Amino acid sequence: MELKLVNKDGRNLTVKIIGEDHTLCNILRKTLHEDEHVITASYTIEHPLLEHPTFYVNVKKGKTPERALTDAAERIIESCDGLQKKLLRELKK
Amino acid sequence: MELEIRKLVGDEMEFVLSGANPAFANALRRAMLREVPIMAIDEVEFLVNDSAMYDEILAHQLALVPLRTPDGYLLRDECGCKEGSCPRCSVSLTLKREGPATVLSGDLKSSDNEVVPVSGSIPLVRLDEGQRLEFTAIARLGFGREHAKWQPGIVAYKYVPTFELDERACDACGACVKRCPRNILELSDGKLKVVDVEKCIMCNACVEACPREAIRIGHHEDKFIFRIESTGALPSEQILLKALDALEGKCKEFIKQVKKL
Ligand SMILES: [Zn+2]
Repeated sequence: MELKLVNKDGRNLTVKIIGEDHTLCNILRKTLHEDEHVITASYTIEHPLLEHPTFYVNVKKGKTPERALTDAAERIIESCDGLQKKLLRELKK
Repeated sequence: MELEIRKLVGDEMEFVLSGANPAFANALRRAMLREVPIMAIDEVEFLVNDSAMYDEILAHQLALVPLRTPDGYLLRDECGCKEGSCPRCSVSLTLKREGPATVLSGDLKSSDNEVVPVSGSIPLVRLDEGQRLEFTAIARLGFGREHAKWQPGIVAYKYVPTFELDERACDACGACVKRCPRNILELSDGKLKVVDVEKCIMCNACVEACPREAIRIGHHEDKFIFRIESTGALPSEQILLKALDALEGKCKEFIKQVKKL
């Protein structure tokens, strides 16, 4: 994975996420929407085989777009961690 | 988020994910199908092939034979060995047979007895009297996102259906009972009952059949029934565990990359 900055001005950030697809982008977009500082979060993959996703996020005052992105990723990590623990507990039953 | 295992038998697993949103359910499904590496034949060198099948077709057939995948192997890129296939990142499978015979997956001889075909009875090709087949194949780890041969199984989820009945409107005419293709509705003591709402496929046949508009079919917004059917390459619960790891790994890498911006 590699991020390429496409555009950045104040509260807007557009990056290309090289090597990723809907698997990461869609859950990231959804998780960003749960953040009250986020106004818009969206992505597009212009061609499913030839293009990498372009991710756009727009935030309110109080949080940088970068911070909103890392916060969202942290929350997904927490969810995965929690589920793994629950799964292991279920498997022991 | 909650997870409850309903069934775990052989290569099949069914679990209920609740407190989740559709985006998470789909990320999980995609991660299981695309981001969990397993072993599959990736290269075949034919020494002799007298069979009716072309080398390419046979190679393709071989690639789709599910192989058991133990822990410990490295991806080709991770290994970085010059040859692109060393004992740390690959397994070699050889086969030598002479006809008349039906060549089976069980005839493959592996360099690692933990990386063997899940089933030994998959037919690969038939050889006639005197026809010979001899080849060396290399199996390595790969991802389902690259090729379906590296997909550890079938993963699907469905919403948990809901059946709402307006009891004042329903006159127990039984029209819906006859129309339901899953036969989950029944009349008892002049009342309509749902036997097993989870069997509902949300086709709305009952809604259309009802002359009094008493039925509403919907689904829970945050509850999903997942089914994993492993090819046998990995136990189904391992597919789920590794998919969660993969998703987590992606997020960690993403955070690292954002910090570099
Ligand atoms: Zn190697």
